[in-house]
Formats: sequence, C-alpha cells, structure tokens
Amino acid sequence: MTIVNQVWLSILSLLGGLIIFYMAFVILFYFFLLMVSLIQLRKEYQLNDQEPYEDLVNLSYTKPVSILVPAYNESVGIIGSIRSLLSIEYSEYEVIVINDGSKDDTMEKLMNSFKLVKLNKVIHQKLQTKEVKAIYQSSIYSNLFVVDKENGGKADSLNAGINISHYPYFCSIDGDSILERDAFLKVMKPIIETDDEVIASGGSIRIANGCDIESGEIVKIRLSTKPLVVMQVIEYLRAFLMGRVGLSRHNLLLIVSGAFGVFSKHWVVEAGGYSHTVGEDMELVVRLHRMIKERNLNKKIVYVPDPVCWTEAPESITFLRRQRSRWHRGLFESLWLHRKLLFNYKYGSIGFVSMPYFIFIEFLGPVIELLGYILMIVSLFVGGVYYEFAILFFLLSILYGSIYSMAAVVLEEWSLRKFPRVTDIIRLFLFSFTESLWYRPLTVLWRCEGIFHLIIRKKGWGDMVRKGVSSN
Amino acid sequence: MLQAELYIVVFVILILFGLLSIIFIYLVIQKGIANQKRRRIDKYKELVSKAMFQFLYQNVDSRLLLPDNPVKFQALEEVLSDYAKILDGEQALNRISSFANDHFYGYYRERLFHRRWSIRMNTMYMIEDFRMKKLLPDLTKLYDSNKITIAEETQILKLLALFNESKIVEKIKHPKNQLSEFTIRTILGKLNEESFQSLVVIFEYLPKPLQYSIIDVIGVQNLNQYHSYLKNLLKSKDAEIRIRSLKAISALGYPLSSEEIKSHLDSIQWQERMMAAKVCGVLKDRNCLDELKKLMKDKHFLVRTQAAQSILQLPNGRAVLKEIAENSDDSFAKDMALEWLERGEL
Repeated sequence: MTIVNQVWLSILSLLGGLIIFYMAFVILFYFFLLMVSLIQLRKEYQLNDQEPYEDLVNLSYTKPVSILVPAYNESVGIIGSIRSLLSIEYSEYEVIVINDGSKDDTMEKLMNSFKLVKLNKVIHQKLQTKEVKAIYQSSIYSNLFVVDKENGGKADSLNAGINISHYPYFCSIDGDSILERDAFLKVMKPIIETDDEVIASGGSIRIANGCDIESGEIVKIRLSTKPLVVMQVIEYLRAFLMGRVGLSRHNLLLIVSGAFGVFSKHWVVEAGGYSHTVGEDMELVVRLHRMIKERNLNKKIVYVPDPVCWTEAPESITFLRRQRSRWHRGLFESLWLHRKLLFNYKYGSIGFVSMPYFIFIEFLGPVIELLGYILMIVSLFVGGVYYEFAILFFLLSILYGSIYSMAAVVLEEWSLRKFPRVTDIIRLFLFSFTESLWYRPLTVLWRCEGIFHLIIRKKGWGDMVRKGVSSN
Repeated sequence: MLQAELYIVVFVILILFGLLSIIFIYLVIQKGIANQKRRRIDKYKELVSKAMFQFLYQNVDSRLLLPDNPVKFQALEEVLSDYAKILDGEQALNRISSFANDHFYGYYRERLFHRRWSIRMNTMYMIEDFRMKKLLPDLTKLYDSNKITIAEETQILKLLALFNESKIVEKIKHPKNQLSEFTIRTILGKLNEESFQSLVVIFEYLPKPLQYSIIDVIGVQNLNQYHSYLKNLLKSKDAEIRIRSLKAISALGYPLSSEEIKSHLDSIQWQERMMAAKVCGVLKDRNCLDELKKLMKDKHFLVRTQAAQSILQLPNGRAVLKEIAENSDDSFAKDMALEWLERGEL
C-alpha cells in the first residue's frame, strides 16, 4: 500500500467519523424537539374547536387586521382566493390586494369582478416603495382595496400594502392559498391575549393538492395520490409540528411562513419593513428578533399549530427542484445578512441556539449529508472495514429521515388529526418509511444545487407555474 | 471497528420503529372507532334536537333526553351547547342549567380535575355555557390547587365572576398569574354591578392594568352611571388614563363642555389629541371647530385623519372640509380633507 493510499484512507476515516458524529448530534437535537412537541401538542389534544375563541369574536376589543395579498401575474387563482378571504370569520378586517405591475390580466379581472372605484387616498408613507399608480376600493365589498403599483417584487408590494393599511396588524397571504375560515381567530389569539407582547404569530402551512375545494374553501381534506406530493405533505408535517412547536416554545423561532403570518405593523415599520431578498419572510423575522434583543424588548414571536393555510405544492420534479433550490438560497441570504448574530452573547439564545441551528443544521446539513452519501458509495468500493461505515451511515440516515418522518405522522395523529380518512393516514405512515430511500437524497441534492448556484451567483429565482388551487 | 456503534444504531432503530408502529396501530384503531362514534353522535343529534327544543321551550320531557351511554351523552352535550349559544330568555337559560345540572354534574366534577389540560378547559367552557353554579365549590377548589395555567385562571375567574362568588374582587385584585389587560377585561365584563362598583370605589389603589381595564369596560359596556367619574379621571396625571377616559367618553357619547375638551386637544401626546378630536366628532360640538381645523395640520397622520373625520360629523362639516380642500395652505390638510369628502360619499 502506497503512502498516498494510506493518506486517502485516513482522510476517509476522519471524514466518516465526523459525519457520523454530526448525524448523531442532529438526531439527538431533533429528538429533543420531538419531545417538546409531543408534550405541548398533546396538552391541547381535543381542545374544543370554538369555545376558546368566543371572547375574541364577541368583544369589541378584538384587533382589526389588514390582509395583504401581493399579486404578480396571478390572474388564474386570484379572484377565487380573494373571495375566500372575504368570507373569513373575523370581526374587523380589510383585504388589500397589491398588483405588482402584473403583465397579464390580473388588474382587469380585479376591476371587473369587484367593481373597483378609484380613490383619492392619502398614503402614509412609512416605508419607501416603488411608485403607487392608484388605489381602488371595491364598490361591492367596502373592505376590499386594490393597490396598483410599478413592479418592485414581493417585498416592495408588501411594504406598499403596509403603507396603505388602516389597521394595527397585518397578515401576509400568498396569492394562491386558502385559509380555513377560523384560521384568523386562532392565529390572532396569542396576540390579543397578551396585550401585544406577541408581535408576530404564524400558523401552519399544509398542502392542498388532493383536497376537495369548492369556491375557495376546503370542503374535504384528502391526501393526494401522487407520491411526490405525499412526501411533501410529510415533510411539512415534520417541519411544522416537530420543528416549530419546539422552537416557538422558547422564543427561538426564526421563521414565520410568508404564506400565513400576522405581524404587528408598528414593530415591522420600526424594524424597517420587508427587505428585498429571496426569503423576505424569514429575513424579516430574523430582523424582528434582532430588534427585540438590541432594544431589550419584552416581545415574542410564536407559532400556532392549529390554524392552517392550504397551499398548492409543485407536483413535478422540475418545479419542486427549483422551489427547494430557491428556498435554500433564501435561507442563506437571511443568515448571511445577519451573520453577526452567530455566537454573539448580546443576542442570547438567538445567537447561541437559533442561528447555529439554522446555519449548521438547516443550511449546511444537506452538504454534510451529500458528503455522507458520496462517502458511503466510495466505502462500498474500498471495502474492508469501510463497509461498516457505509452501513452505519445508511442506518443513521434511516433514523434521521424515515424514522423521524414516521414520528411526525404519528405526532399529527396524536394531536391535530386533520385528515379524516383512515386510509390517508395509513398511506402517510407507509410512505414516510420510504423517505430515506429516495425523497430525502433528492431534496439533499436540490438544496446542494441551491448552494452551488449561490457560489456561481446564478440570478433569477425560477417561477412556479400555478394551476390555481382555488380557481372559481 | 464500528461494530458496537452499528449494534447500538440498529437497536435504536428497531426500538423506535417498533414503538412508532405500535403507537400508530393504536391511533389508527382509535381513529376508526372515533370516526364511527362521530357518525353515531351526529345521527343522534339529529334525532334529539327537536326533543331538546321542546324540553327547553315547552317543558316536554322525552326519553330521548336521557344520556345513558357515551354517544348519547356527547350528542346531548353538543345539542345543549348549541342551544345555549342561540337561545335568549331567562326561562330557557334556566332550563338549560337545570338540564345540565341533572345530567352532567357528576361527570363534570370529575373532568374538572382531569390530568389533561384540554379536558379541564373544555369542561370549564361547558360550565360557562350552561351556567352551572352548582359547581362553584369545585371551581374554587381547582383555583386553590397548586398549579394552574393562565388560561385556567382566566376561565375560573370568569366563572366566579359570572356566579358572583363572594371573594371574586379580592381574587381579581391579587391574581395568581400575571394577567393581561385583555384577560382582565373579559373577567370584568362578567362581574355584576355591585362587584364592579366595589372595584371602582377602590380605583386609585388598584394596579394600572386593572385601572385601564375598568375604564375600557365602562366605555364598551355603556355604563352611563359612571360618566361623571370618567370626567374626574380626565384630570389624572397619567396620560394613559386620560386617553382611555376620552375613548370611553366617546363611546358613551356623554356631553363634555368645550373648555373640558380643549386642554386635551392640544396635549403633547398625539393619542390624546386624537381621542379628544374623536370626542368632538361624537358630540357634534361645533365649538371645537377651530381646534379641529388646527389638528388637520397636525404632524401625526392619525390625528389628521381623526380631525377630518370629526369635522365631517359636525353639522355643516362637509362645507368646512370642502373649504379646507380648496383653500388650505397645508398640503397634508388638503389631501386629508379630499380623502374624507370622498369617504363620506361611499
């Protein structure tokens, strides 16, 4: 055996050891989160679905909310989504659609469907945005406004929406998603009950593909028949129920999904509004946390598992791959912008737990996993003692992927029970077991691709072609 | 080399896999049973709904209304709770209570001390819906137990307020957990007149959040008897108390002399100016007009908005706004007047 060979083999061992150690650590960390969620979710298992919210509906102290719907070329689903937003259960709210210079017929459709009338409205310019061309109000629904502005991206649209909103809280909703009717009450509850100590509150996102939808409302929750969608359903369950419950409990949550979150306008404006990044939703939350720590405020950002916003997931590999690659770049941007927080004692638990978690587990995890997969294959060829490494890595990835996903499905059934059909839940469980064998490696590849694109500085974020989950 | 580790991981995987599978199978069976039970409950609810209505309104009893198995129990509980939400009238409410006392009392007594938080909470919600005063001793016992969460304390205090428990005022004054203003308001909202009055008497000795909440409740519940009290509070040194009192006054629509309002219209706190402007609008007091015109140029956006809205509410206010829109030298005031002229039309 040559020296070169020996060096190679010792590098292999060292790297292998590190990867195994990393995986073991991550598995333990997730186990901790799983335990926190288990206790927390079970506490609220079978809590009455209406009673806790009655005071919020009846009393005149309920806080009004502005719902912001940024729309760029969303002509397919937009009318349906808005109609469903106009029928939510909440005492006082307005819907503000921001047409971000769409090139399709979004604006015409809005004009005709809602009989818009132009307003002479004074804009309270709290945040800088691209030029607003006009503000309209619907003559059918007095609480529906439409802002027509120059194209400036999602963050810019949201800022424009914040500027013209009348109410102290706002909620951002993706153009093509469906809210459960009582979702607002549920997500506002922590904000109202704590006298504004909670400045941002986010609900769950779930996948609408496969559900029965009628005129912008989920009539029956069902599981899609497509394996790729089923795997995403499991992935969302895992991310929300396992990850966020645990993080939220200790005010460590760095993500409130852009698709469904309520924010205090005052504090968002204080923090400077949305900034123009790929993952503007996450970036804002990190900035809010930063502000809380820097100004030593007694404020919180929470996640509420029960209220659900249903959204359309990509059904083809091509679009899923683009989405994941984009998400990963978004994650990087937010973390990079705020890298100063990492291991900075001034930022307490955010600096020592949240940031390391998002950087070393969420962001760098795929890289290490990919290395693991490569090493596993190499080890099989090298043979000898390295077989054992290959097997150990494979087993750990089963634990990390499949077993935890099975746990997430069990957690869902143990607490929220959103799927009514027994067969759906059995399919979820069986599919979750296959995760490590195909889906997990794929997502690892896509996310690494995102990192690769970051390195070669690829621009353009890749759009998703929407079918419109809530078409009229 | 890695054999020991391999064995450990295989062992962990097998254990977890086995454990998860067992729990899963258990949950699936439970789901099957629960789905079936739900169907039976829904069916029974349909069957019994009319009988319940007749019982509540015409006092016609029926054998259907006997909860002799868990399905019937839950169906009756749900039907009764639905009626409790839609029915008015002392007699119907009394019937609901007496039905609940007859059939659910023993069960609720147990459930009130259940290990799981959600079950204790659900039970208390039902006790509220059905006004089961008979459970008062058990509620106080739960209150006195060592550890109760904020949500539980809130719900218990609401119930004690509803049932006029003798020491409720003391308990509101010295809560076990730190309660938010929202929570305090919902509790105060359930108090009877006498207890509320006894809190107002000791107002100045109460902690701030409680003071603020009392003022808010006076406004929201339209407690007109306290109007002169609110007027006194306007002299408070605490700006927040003045702001809230102005808000309550605007809600009551109780007259205030121009002199009394004026000092608030040029307060250094913008919230106070805004609320005072609101009071002017509600009272339709043309004596405030000059001040309101001045506030149309205020440096705070929300004060300008409120001033414009209040002017619009004054007799002949439209003409004043038109005048401002056409002739004002202040562009902020102009734009705002235009916006409100248009809003007034919609």
